[in-house]
Amino acid sequence: MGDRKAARDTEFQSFVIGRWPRLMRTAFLLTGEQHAAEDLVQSTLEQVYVAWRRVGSADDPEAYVRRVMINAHARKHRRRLREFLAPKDDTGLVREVADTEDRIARAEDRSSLLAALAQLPPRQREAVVLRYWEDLTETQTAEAMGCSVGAVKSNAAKGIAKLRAIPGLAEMVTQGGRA
Amino acid sequence: MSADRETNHGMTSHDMSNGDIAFLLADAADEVEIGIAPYDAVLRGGRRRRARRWAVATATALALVGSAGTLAVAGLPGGNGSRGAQVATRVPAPPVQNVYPPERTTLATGTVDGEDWWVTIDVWSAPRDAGQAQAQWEAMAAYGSRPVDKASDLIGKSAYFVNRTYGDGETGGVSLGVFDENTPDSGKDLQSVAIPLDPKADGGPQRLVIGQIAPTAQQVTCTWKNGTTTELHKVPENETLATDIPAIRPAAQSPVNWFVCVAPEGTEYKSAGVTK
Repeated sequence: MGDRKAARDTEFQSFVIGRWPRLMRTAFLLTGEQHAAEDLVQSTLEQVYVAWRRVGSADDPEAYVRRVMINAHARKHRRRLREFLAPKDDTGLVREVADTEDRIARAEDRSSLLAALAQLPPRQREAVVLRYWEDLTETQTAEAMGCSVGAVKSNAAKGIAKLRAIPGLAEMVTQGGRA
Repeated sequence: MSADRETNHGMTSHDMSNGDIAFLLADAADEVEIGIAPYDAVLRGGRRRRARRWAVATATALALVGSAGTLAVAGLPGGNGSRGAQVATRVPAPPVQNVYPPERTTLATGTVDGEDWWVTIDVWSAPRDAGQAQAQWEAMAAYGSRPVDKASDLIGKSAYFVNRTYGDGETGGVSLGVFDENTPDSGKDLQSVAIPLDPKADGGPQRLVIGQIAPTAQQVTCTWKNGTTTELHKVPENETLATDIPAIRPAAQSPVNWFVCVAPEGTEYKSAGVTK
């Protein structure tokens, strides 16, 4: 019994350490902020720990983790996100052509994208992040978001359309980023 | 979230036309400082959560024992409040106090393929203070999930849990939340979820649509993928309508109205909107 528990703990530890980087990146795109991302991932993994006996032996523990994270995000960052990430100056999302220095420009691009994501309603943001960062299928995204495939399609399409409508971002997109 | 996707950045599969967005997302995601996984903190937090869950289960069991005892006495000839109170004093006072039970309303019922299904909603009234919120928070553990992150977030907000039952299967949660600034309150505001009728039919057609709308909405139209539609109308005030007839209905203690519609066999949800 003790051996089994120790084995489960070891398994969970490997899971946490192995998935932490990826979960942090996803959480960062969802929350737009370093500490909020850490909080989201930690809180998600705490919940996963409670259910680990069941989750760890499941075929797809990733799906459970995503579901927990999206639920937590949906609850926590519903309204505050927009306020938090809204541009602090009056330039909004429409900005001048980026600086010539590539590094500065890249940083601005990231900032613009995060700000643009922040303008999306949470469900659209979740759909865009899960589909185009997590690379999930529509069905997997629907499972993670607890909604229909139709809702995923709609949210993702609206989210992408809004991102493309932002002048600064459209410019980045045509350049394929500033690699 | 497989490790090999770390280098793919989402540009491989579903939608190459949005590969540029995937690229930008990957670039933005690299902005975050990964740091070292705080395994010990996760473990401590996880254990705290597990301990809390056990504590809640124990408290709920005690509350149920106390409640059943009181009811049994009240049902006996000559039973009175004082005897009920005696029962209560024999059971350690549970921390669950001042919790008003939720109001349950059946939103819809039906039969598909010989299986009965029904959808209900529980609405919890808004706790006024931290003590009530904590008690409600603990009582909500029975659902297995809560609509907010901490008890204090419940103060001043009523909460809802929508449940669906199909055939002999277990009742499962479909939607939960608190009524707040995101709640539909006017015009064509609508929040809905579409799911398979049979919870076991994972990935099956999304035939069951459940939504909340502003009390002013008079008509909702559910559009199905085969192009057909189902129109639902608001049940007139002071009238009741059998729950197997699709309609827009109020639910006890809910500030919004609700609707449930089911797609005809062979098709599934496409959209839903307030049309009047």
